[in-house]
Amino acid sequence: MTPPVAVAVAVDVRAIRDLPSLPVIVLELLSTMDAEATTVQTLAYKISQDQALAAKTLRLANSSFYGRPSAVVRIEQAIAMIGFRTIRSLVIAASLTTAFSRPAGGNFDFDCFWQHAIGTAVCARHIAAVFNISPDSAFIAGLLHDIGQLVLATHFAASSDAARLWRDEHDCSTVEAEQETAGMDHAGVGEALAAHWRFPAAIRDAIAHHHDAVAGLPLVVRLADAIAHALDLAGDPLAAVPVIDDGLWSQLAIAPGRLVNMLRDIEVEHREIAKVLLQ
Amino acid sequence: MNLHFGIALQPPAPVAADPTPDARVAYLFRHTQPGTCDLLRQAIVALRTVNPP
Repeated sequence: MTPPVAVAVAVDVRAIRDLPSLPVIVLELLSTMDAEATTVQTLAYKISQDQALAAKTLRLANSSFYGRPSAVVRIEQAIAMIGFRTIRSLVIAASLTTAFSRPAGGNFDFDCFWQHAIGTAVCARHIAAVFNISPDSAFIAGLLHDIGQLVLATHFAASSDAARLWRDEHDCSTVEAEQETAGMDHAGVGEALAAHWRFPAAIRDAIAHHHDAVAGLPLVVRLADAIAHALDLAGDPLAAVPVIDDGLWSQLAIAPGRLVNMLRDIEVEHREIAKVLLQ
Repeated sequence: MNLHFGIALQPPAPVAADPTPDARVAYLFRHTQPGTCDLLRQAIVALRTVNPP
């Protein structure tokens, strides 16, 4: 079969310097992931400074997944009810999902992208404890694992479209298609972006190695990515579960019955969080 | 594997358009082989048996 793209598209990763800055609140909250320097009052104040973020936080707190009998009307209430760490993760997610503008044209499905990102984040948070990893960090790493795809779609649309066409015609993985058409892949681009944005090292590693990890947070994200695809959370008709050896799956030491229950919980949580974040 | 007039036929490849839950799971796991992702596949099959999408 004749390749749809005759000439490989070279992507200059240095061009990611043209990307918009991350919202300040994301940088500040990411920097507190490994410490408890931020108090409930400080977090509430930061969220309150951004009306859209505050509204999303309250919508999440009042969603049927987190919802309590009495309506949550203040950010401090939301933090007290849902938990400081969970709110911090959700605020970062709410801010990131709106940080990238959606350029006109191109064939990239942004909704599909964020549905999968949120799904992987939820999966990662559920399995993190098995690997003695912070659920907070796992959620953020899961959310960001494919961020390189977003960079390609928003700044190298032709390359992104070529890779997707190749993937669909050859029924291969996105990474293989990107390597074939552009000589690079979204994991590498994502790692460069994460370094540029000075993300914590653990999250940078997870982004860089979410297709080949064998341990730690990167493995949590790799398994979470596969679970999200298996649950069909993104609604991508051509999705495929990536191949991961059973030796690595066996590290996810969860009894089969419990795993099925976990998958059911993940579907419900994904639906509720995505409904608020992507509205 | 089916036998048809003495010719061994491979099972049909899963297709994306088939909307039934079993077919969709088979399609999603089309790149995996026995020994890769078996644990996840079994859990998804069990989930879809009691909780169709």
